[in-house]
Amino acid sequence: MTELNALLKRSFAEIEEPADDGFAVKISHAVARREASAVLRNRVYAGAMLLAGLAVFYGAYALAQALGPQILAMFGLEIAQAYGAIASGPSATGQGILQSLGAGMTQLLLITGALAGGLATFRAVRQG
Amino acid sequence: MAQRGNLNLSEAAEATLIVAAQARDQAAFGELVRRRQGWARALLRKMCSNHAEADDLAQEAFIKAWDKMADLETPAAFPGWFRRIAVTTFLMAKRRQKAVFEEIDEELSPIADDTSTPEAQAGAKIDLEKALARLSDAERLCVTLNHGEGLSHGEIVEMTGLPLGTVKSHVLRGTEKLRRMLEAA
Repeated sequence: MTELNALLKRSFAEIEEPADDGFAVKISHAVARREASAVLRNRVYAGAMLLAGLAVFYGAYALAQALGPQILAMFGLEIAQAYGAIASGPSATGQGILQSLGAGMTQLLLITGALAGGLATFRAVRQG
Repeated sequence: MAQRGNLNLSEAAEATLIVAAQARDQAAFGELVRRRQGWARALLRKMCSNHAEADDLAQEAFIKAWDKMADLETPAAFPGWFRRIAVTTFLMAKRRQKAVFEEIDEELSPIADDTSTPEAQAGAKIDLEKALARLSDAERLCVTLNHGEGLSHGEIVEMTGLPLGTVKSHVLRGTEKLRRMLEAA
């Protein structure tokens, strides 16, 4: 078996390596195409993300224009009522104000949650 | 003469080319392929039964190597690292063909060497490529890695993911088949 192993080892070593018949050039072209398509893919991705960002911004801007003053007014009113309730001590009116504040805070929490969710989705898409 | 910046590619050491290729230098990788293509294609030709398939797999392996260059820890590890990629590429191709464990049932006929070297005249040499083509894919792979690449059974297990008993069996049976072909020649 040792002789056979030596013969096999020698025979393996004697197998000729093929000459370069354009193989290396073919690989170089394949690599170049691959890199070019990767660059193109990255650019398309960046463009798509820019468009998505603009669309979100446009939507948020339109929403803020329509609802912004109302939200700000409501928020200011809630703060003023809360301040008044704290300053004047607990009362039946104060409880009503606290309930009202709770409802307002729910809306604020929903908006904050939506923004955080959107941000998380954006990061996940960017990383993926 | 290929030249890139201050780096003369055709005269650069392989380690230099590998480091440059890791920095995504396509020309350096091209020169590396030019130097290593013979070795890589010969390795895959030993594993495959036909040259066209081997060359396709070698191309696939080099492109995988380009994609994974950053994973190579040291330039000195390139041959072993590339061999692993080549073996994985071969195994994946065979799994796609569902052919890795197929055996050849036909009677083994003698494989004589048609060259007129003194060794051949003395019957001490076989046409190994022809003989290897008669083995099953798994036997050919294990025999090539064991006798051709000098890997131990454990290293073959680690590289291919095949069980140790299977590797030992393939090496033993493949070597025995080659011995029978040699004796019959």
